[in-house]
Parts: sequence; C-alpha cells; structure tokens
Amino acid sequence: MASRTASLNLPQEEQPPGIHKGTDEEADPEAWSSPLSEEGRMERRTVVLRAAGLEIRDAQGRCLRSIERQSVAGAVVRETGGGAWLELELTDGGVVRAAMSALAGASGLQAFRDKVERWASQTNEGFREKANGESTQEGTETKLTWRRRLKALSGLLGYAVPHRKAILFSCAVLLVGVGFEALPPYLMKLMVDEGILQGSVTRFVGLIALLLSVYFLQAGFQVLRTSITIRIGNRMMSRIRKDMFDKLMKLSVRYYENRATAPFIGRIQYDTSWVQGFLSEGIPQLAAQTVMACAIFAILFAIDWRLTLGVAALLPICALLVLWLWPRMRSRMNRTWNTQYWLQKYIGEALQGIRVIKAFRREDEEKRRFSQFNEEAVRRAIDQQRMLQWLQPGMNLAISAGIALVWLIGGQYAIRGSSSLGTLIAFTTYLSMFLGQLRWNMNLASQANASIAAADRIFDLLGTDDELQVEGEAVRMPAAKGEIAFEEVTFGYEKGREVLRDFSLRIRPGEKIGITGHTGAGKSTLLQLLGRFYDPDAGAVRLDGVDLKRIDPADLRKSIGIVFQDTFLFDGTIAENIAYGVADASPERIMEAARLARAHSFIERLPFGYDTRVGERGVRLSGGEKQRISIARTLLLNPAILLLDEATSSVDQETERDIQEALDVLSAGRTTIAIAHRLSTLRNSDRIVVLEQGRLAEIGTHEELVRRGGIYLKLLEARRELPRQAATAG
Amino acid sequence: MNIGTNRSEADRIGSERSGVESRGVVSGGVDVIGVERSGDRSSLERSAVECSWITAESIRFRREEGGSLRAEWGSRAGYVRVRRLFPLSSPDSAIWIGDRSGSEWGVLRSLAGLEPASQAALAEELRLSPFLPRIARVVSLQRRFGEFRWTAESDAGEIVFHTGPLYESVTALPGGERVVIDRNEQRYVLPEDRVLDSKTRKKLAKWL
Repeated sequence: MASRTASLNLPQEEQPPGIHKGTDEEADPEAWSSPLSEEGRMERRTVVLRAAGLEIRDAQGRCLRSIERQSVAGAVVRETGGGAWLELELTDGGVVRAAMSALAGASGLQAFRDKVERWASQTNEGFREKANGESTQEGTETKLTWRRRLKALSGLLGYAVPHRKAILFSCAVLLVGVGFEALPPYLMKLMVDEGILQGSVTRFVGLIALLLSVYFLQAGFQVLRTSITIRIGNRMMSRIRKDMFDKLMKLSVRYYENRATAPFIGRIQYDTSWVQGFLSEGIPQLAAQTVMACAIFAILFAIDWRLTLGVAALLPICALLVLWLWPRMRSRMNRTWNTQYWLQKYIGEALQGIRVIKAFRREDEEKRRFSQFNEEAVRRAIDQQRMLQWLQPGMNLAISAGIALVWLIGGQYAIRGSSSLGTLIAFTTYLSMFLGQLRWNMNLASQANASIAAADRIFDLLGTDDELQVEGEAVRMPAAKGEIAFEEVTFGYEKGREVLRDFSLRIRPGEKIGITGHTGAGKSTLLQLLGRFYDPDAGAVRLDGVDLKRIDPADLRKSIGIVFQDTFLFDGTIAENIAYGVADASPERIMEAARLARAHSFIERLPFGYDTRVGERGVRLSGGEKQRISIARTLLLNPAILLLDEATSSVDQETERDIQEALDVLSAGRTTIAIAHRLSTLRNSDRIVVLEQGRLAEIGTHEELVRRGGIYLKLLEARRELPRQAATAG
Repeated sequence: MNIGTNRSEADRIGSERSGVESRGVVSGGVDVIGVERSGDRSSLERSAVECSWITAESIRFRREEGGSLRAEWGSRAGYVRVRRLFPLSSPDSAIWIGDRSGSEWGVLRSLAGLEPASQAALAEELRLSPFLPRIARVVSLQRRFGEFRWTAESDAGEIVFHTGPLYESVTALPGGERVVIDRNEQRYVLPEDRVLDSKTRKKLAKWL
C-alpha cells in the first residue's frame, strides 16, 4: 500500500506533478507526470511527448497507450471541480483522457496543455528545439515550514529584547525575593531550638524581629517586581497587537477570501494577552521557582539527608505525571479554542447578515444554531476544566499525605533524639514550600500550555507569507502617466479555474475604455488585477511599462482610484469618509470634491452637514448617497487612473444620471476603465471591450461593434428588450 | 435535502416561477420549467432562466474507449460533461448534463431509474465531478508548528496532504460530515465520527 501512497500536496518524498525533462533514452524531449490516473486513482501517469507520437505510461514506465502525432488535433484541460483532466482531441473527432491532476498540479497541467498544442501543430524538428528549451519544474511551493516557524518563534522572543534590561532586573529582584522567602523556616528552627527550648527570651524576640524584617522585605520586593512586570508586559502586548494588525493590513485579499474575519478580533485580543502573560510573568516566574526549588532542596538535604532522599524518590512519579498530563491538557485547550473560534465566526456572520435574518424571519433558526455552537463550546470547556478539577485536590492530597509521612518518620527521629524538634519543624516547612513550588509549577504548565497554543496561532498569522510582495527593488512612480498594458494575462481565483485566459490589451494614457460582457466573463477581475488585489497566474499587467509587481505599493495606490459597485463607508463622519485617502484634506477641498460628485446637495440638507455620522458601513445613507460619497472620496485622491466597477448599477435612473455626470467630471483627463451592464453608460468610451468566458471577444467603438453584429449587439438588444418586456407586462 | 424525492416541490416552484400551471413533456422526455423559451437566445442566457429536467428513462450513457462519457437523449447524441449540482448535500440527485462546449442539455433528477450500464458509466464519471476524495481512515495526523500533515485512506487511494490549523481547515456540514480543505484548496470529505473507526476518531479528537 505504501508504494501507492501519493501526495496531492507535493511532499518531498514524492515527485510532484508537473513537467519534467524526459527520462527516455532517445527522442523523449518532454514529459508531464501526475500521481493521479485518468480514473482519479492514486496511480502515477506520465505523458511523454516524442517526435513521432505521444505515450501514456504507468508508474513502472510501461506504455499504456500511444497515439501517433498526426492523430492529435489539440489538447484541452477539462476541469472537474477539485481537479482536471488533460484531454487529447483527435483528428477523427475522438477524445482521449491522458491523465488527471489534482489542484496542486493544475498550473503544470495547463502549461503542458499549451506544450501539447504546440507539439501537435509543429514539425518534428521545430518541436524538439523549442520543447527542450522550455521545461519548467513545478513543486517550488513545498513549504519551508521549519524555517518559517523558527523565524516566527525568534520574532516572538524578539518582543522581549527591547525590555531585556527590565526583564533582567526583574529576575534579579525575583532571585533576591526567593532568598528572602527561603529564610523564614530556618529562622523558625532557630526560634524553637535556640529560643524556646533554650529558654532565651532575648534571643527569641530578636529572631521574631528578624523574621518580621524578612517578611517586610519580601513584600517590598514583590511590589517592585510586579510594577516592572506590569509595565513591560503591557508594552509587549501592545507591540504584538500592533504587529498582528499591521500583518492583517499587509495580507492580500486572497488570504481573507478563505477565512472568517470575526475571529481575528479574538485572536488579537486574547491570544496576545496569553502570550504577554507568559513572556512577562510566566518565564521569569518559572526561572525563579526553579532556582527556589533547587535551593530548598539543597537546604532540605542539609537539614536531614535521610528524609530528603525519601522525598527525592517520589519526584520521578511527579515528572511522569506532568509528562502524562501535558499533551492531554494541550489537546483539550486546543479543542476548546476551536469551538470558541467557530462560535466567534458564527456570531460575526450572523451580525453581518442581521438584515437578511430579519427579512426572512430566521431569528429562531439562528438562535438554534447559536445554541448548538454554544453548547459544544460549553461541553468542551467543562471537559477541559474537569481535568483541572481533579488535578488540584489530587495534588493537595498527595502533598498533605507526604508531609504527614515526614512527620511520622521525622517525629520518631526527634523522639529518639537523633534530630531536634526545630529541625523537624524547619524540614516540614521547607518541604511544604518545595511541594508548593511543584504544585505552582503544575499550574504554570497549564498556563504555558495555553500560551504556547496562543503563540502558535500568532506564529501562524505573523508567519504567513505576503502574497503580493514587491519583486526586487521597488520602482518609485510618484506621477503615473496612465498607460496600461495587459500582456497575455491568465488568472483564476481558485486553482484550476481560469477566469481570464491569455488576455492582452494596451490602453493609452487618458483613454476611456468601457468593458462589458456576460456575468462571470471576467470584467471585475481585470480591475482587481489592475488594482493589484491579486497577481496574475501568468502574463503581466504593466503601468507605464513597469510590471505592477515592481511598483512601490504606495505609489500604485495613489495612481489608481477605484469606485466599487458595493460602496463601503467607515463608521465616521461624511467628511472623514471623503477625506479617507488624503490625510491632510482641507474642508474646502472636501466640499469641492463633494460638489463635483453631486453629493453636496444632499449633505447640506443634513442637520450636521459634513459632520453627520454615516453609521457602520454607511447604513444611515441611501445607496445613491453612499455612491456619491465614494466618488467624492476618489475625486479627492486625484488619481491618474480611474476604475469604475458598475458604479451606477444599484441606483435608480435619476440618481444614475446624477452620478454619471459626476463620473464624467471624475474621468476627464484620466485613463478610465469602466465596467457596466447598462451599455448606455459606455457609449461615449473611446473603445469598448467585450469579454466572453475570460477572453477578449470584441473591441472597438460603439458604432463599430454595432456594425459588427456580434456579442455586443446581442447584449445591446437584450438590454433594450428588457424595458419593452416590462412595459408589456405592465 | 433530496431533490430526487422532492419532485412535487420542484414542480411547485417551477409553476410559481413560470406563472403557468401546465408543464408539457417535450421530445426526449424533458419537463420544461421556466419563464419563457426563446429560440434565438444564446444557450448561456437561456440556461439562466430555464431548467430542463431530464428523466432517467430517456437518457443513455456509455463510456468511450478514450475514457470520455457519451450520451444519447432524444435526438441528441455526443460527448457530454456531467456534474453534481449538490455534491455534498444530495450527491445522487440533480445531475447537470451538457455538451463539451458547456451548453446545457438539462438536469437529470436522479440516478435512480437509469438502466444499469448507463448508471455505472455515469456514476464512474460523477466520482470525479467534482474530484472530492472521501476519507475512509486517517492513518496519521501529525502536527508540526501549526501545519498538519494528513495521511489517509480514501476512495481514490492512499493520500497525503497538508492543512493549516484545523479550526480553519475543517468545516462541518449540516449532516455531520466535514469538508477538509488543504493548502492547495483541494477538498476532501471526512465522514461523520460514527462511521469512522475508533483509531481515526481518536486521532481526530486530539485536535478537532
């Protein structure tokens, strides 16, 4: 069975699916390999392109099928959802499935498809030359987990470095404090043996005074250490939170697509708190308690080595208990945390969708779902705490029994005169302290468990690679001209599902481009790529001849203004929202932008004018009002390039006319790309691009496209048809 | 949800949407539910407003030598693409059928009622549409600094994959099954606990 094990995630022990240099002895220039057979079984298949034909081989290299080159008309990647077949189209109309790839090998499969198409259309000689020069190797995405995690771990410990002096001082204070804590039992021994039993009142009172002084000093050092800990602990927590939030701001849109956002609140709030507790309090405490335990153990040994050896014999049992408990506690804590994550995720989603819940009267159903998550969270919390519930009394019982046993044996030594009463009292007191340390360390272990789990989640976030890094040294572009080029761009939101394929388009500075097409044709994706919310899977998007991946992100954002279909406003005033992209905007500039965006007329009627709060996500404004504020926000930014994504789709015709006027002002003198289903809004564009299934289908002016009688004309007629149908129905 | 056994509900919805009470059976055994029929509209636009139900008795499938699926339905015949429209909640119902260019023929209500050879050919194709390996047993589940390495036996064979934290990578479905999403966004079905062996349950319970 092991020999058939195959990985869908490119583990190191497996050869990844992808294109490889052929291994065959003679004309075997190119091959593609996948761990999946054409029937979706974990059986390796290798497709080998040879000068004379194509071969499909099994894991042992046996040829399962061969197809003559002149019989192959082309190749297609047939997506199945979660995977894809490489299908060969034969000249006689037949189809052969060569192999299948899971998502990990999707890009390699697409590259090989292109290769097969070239292979099928070229002469033998031409193929050999070209193919040999173009082999690519997939599998670079193997995760460098250890390196990444170690980097994150050292980064986390790095939070303590700026406070190293304070932490060292805290440790020194702690050690002195430990010394003071170790003194009282010894003083008690002297009080009994040299004061009470010797009948010396002076000596007894002197020792009492010394004991009191020690207690005062203990308290003083505790206060000093706590004040240091509070200060550095909160500073560290603040820094970790800041870095987590900075990371959240840096991560790409793609990162958030696959995750619920609500639980991040909990992660920033509570995980940092756990880590802070452990770094600032737990580690110094652990160090000090260990020193303390060693010191006490040495004192015990000095007081009575026979009893101490008896106690030492029990220590391995304690160690075994800790080793047994540690992973179980950690597992339970993780499980409890998982349910809290799901609960937070659910609450976040429910609150975001509160209008829909109410509109569909699903409150009871949602309450029921909440109860399910809540019950599970409670059940797991109880399960976790139940373990602790037995732990504490059990430890207490063991400690009490141990001390009673020492009294039994040590008492006999005292009665027989081989040990003094003071020694016995001191020994049992020190032993209580020692066992108390062990008990405390067990509690610390539980805190450490939770902290490590929290730190791990922080690592996970901080260690996430930024997907949209700048390649090489960032190119500064303070004033873009606005020339845009899409060069053979291929892109998919999910692996194996291409939304754009081989899309090329050159846009001159100041040109107005309209984009239309059926839903899902890839229109908005073009804008997403241009705004660099994503990077293309293949090809390049260039601004003024520079690949977006190389442009300084801050300059790129300044150069591009976007008006989205779904307007998002922050919970602040109208003025704050308009000035969102320009930190130092004066009231005059804000008003000017609002006037140009046709927003001023409704703002001036509001009782608080520009200082009116818009509510969370702008709930107190209408769709058209929000859209006009969004346009004003972009106007104030004054970008070289303007992207309009269905900016007027959600408003009535009168508002649309208003907004369209505002947009005309906004787009004057700028490179503008506008997406619209309402083709009337694109009529005045310099060129209109029609997309069809991710490819450029038509391009030209309105008149040219109408004359051509293609997709654009059909879309135009369909749009005209709708009002007619509505009128007839009415 | 079981579309296969809920035909009257679908009919009712269809009637409400179309605004007509009668539903005709047209050539090839298809029930047409929709707003309108427009001969000159593109197939993409038509599919947005209509749904053609294909009856099991009216369609035949067979697997061709090259591995592709071929179907005959009324006057239509040729290579087809098929996919489950409810691959998780109702896998044996509502099977989308279309030609190789992506134009829809219609939707087969249920696999039940197909003649055995057709059913076998279609079931084999559907096993991969979508490709959704079903985990039968977890051989090992190891954690290395937040990254989980799964080795599992599935209906596709023994597989190895990596996921991030399980609270993000495993999503529960209403029926109790779970979907595991790996680092490559590949999905796997993890059945509910009661059908898994005790060792698998133990391995999962440690982290999940």
